Amino acid sequence: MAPKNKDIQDELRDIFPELATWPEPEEPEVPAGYFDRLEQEVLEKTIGRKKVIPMVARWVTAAAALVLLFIGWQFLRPQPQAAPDFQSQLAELDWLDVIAMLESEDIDLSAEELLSAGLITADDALESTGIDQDIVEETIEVESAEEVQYLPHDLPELDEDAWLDLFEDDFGL
Amino acid sequence: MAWTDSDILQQFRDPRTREKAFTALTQQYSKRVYWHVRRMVEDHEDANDITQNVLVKVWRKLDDFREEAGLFTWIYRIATNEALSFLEQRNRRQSVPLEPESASAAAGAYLDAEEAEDRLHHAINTLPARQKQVFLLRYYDEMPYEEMSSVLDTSVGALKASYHHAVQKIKEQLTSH
Repeated sequence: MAPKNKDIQDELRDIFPELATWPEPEEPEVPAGYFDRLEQEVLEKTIGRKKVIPMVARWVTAAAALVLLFIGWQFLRPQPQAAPDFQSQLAELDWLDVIAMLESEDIDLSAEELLSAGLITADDALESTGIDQDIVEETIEVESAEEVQYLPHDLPELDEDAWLDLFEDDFGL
Repeated sequence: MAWTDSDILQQFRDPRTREKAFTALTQQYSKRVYWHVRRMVEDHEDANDITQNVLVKVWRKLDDFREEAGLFTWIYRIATNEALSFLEQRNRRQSVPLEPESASAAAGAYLDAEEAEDRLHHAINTLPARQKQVFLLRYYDEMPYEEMSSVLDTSVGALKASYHHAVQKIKEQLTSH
């Protein structure tokens, strides 16, 4: 690196002109962050403490440390199992267990109530009654058949007098 | 904020602001000390050790500084003496003195920067210690003779003569076959 000062250049030119315009070398390398570490080490050896860090930098450092701590904690802490909601828990129960519990606790709930709460299915409700499924179905068929008998569209077309006669016969009016 | 030498010295003498002043001094001058030493000893690790020693000495001796020279001139003197002591010890340990590899090319003739600097360094390393020191301060640090006189405690005339001899020897090294 040739001197830039004119007096020094002139002096050099008188003795060895080529050296006055010697090619510019690259700066020798130093490790990254070296000068910060140098200051730090010198201050530790002399005033015996670390370099004074501005207050703002301290707060920023502290905040960054807290964020990192929080993130680390989130990753490392044992993950609690998410509590399933009440309906899901109920859905997993076997309806017989539910019935057994209700009986042991002397809670009197009808199958209809259990059914409306979604705790059991219609089939479960029927099964819980102890009534044979065939009998139930037969009953339903019979009742349906009876209802059919009284459906208005199957009734003969009657005038008002005929209706009155009919009510008098059937209901003693 | 850059501190003046006067601020540093004034605050260093007050026990309440002593550490703050030295922190400012370190921030302001450690880099310059390092490069001065690095040019003399070349190796980074050696330069690092010497720079740290220099600044520790400055810390211990700053109370005795009488302001007969500028603060950095005084620090420069400590750095130069430390580097010279190191070089003398290293030269004693080395059985074979450093020799330039080849200085056959004419100085400045179509050299790339790296090669030119290498050759110049080899030539500088053949100089006697005092001439080397004068050459480095003049050529790289562009230090006026008056300031150099204070750093090296030598007359300006003697320094000019040393510098002249140093450049002549470098010329011979770089142009000889």
